[in-house]
Amino acid sequence: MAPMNMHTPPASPLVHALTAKDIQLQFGDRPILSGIHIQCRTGRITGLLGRNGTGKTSLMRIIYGDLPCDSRSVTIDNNPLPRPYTQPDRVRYMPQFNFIPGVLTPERICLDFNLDFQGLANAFPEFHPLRRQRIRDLSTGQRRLINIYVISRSRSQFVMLDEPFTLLSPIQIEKIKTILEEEKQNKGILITDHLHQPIWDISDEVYTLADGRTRITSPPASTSRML
Amino acid sequence: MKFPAIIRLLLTFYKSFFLFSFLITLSSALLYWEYGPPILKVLAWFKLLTQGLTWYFIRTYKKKEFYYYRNLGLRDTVLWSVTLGLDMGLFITLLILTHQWRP
Repeated sequence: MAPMNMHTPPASPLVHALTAKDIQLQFGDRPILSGIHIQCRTGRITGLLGRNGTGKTSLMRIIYGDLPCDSRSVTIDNNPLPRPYTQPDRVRYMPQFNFIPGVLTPERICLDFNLDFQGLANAFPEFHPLRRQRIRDLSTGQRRLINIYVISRSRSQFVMLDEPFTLLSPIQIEKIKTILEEEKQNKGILITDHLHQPIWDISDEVYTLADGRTRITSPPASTSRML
Repeated sequence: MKFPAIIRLLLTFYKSFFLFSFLITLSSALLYWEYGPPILKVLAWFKLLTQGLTWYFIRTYKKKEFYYYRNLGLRDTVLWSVTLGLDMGLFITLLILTHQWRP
């Protein structure tokens, strides 16, 4: 009798790498992005900082594939990803505004994203009585929390979060940071926000975007000089 | 994503313009009841035009919500083709029924 195959699967999840480079974007004659190289990997939170109007949101949308640009190279594990917005199991994107239709309830939103409503209610007990409330009737902060929660908790190799901490209270920011720390075990997270401190607190590496170029930055002091 | 979940999302999207669209369909049926086959061509163009207007207004005023469907794997083209197709099917069905019931 042939011996059984004793191969055991690796204990840790597969590590994937999302790489964006050679991105060129111009608005009219004005160059916005020209020297981009950014990489995000499973198990890491990658921060992206920059002044208003430097192109952080444009960069995320170009990576997501829904903003046309002059040139672009986005790969996962060196495989080109021409339209990531058609593959939510690979990349999901939370824009800086509420993107959830106002008629939906927290329970229904969790169902759509294949999540348990109880998980949301445990993380944020204020949602317990709001299970069947339309989200257009919730506060701006509550809407933002649901946006962040469903994108960061849903199954995907990478998530991109555009200004998740804006509009949240310090306590809510701490909870979101905890969720992101947990979720990075399963995915890569690219995050940008005008609130720099939470980004520094949770990021494993931080890129700054200035003059159309990304630079990897380590200590907060050097970033505050650059920005 | 499973089929029932896709249907649920498509219906949610269709509901965002169903009322306006159904009123157009209903008024077309009433006009057909009144004037009969000679008005059919006008009604067809009228429906197509209002569908075009619906497409324009939803794309303009509810464009943020498309990220919801994209994040769940539904492309804009699928959303539009299925819901506008369903809407046109409803329009045609109602006109056929009106034609049959018309004295």
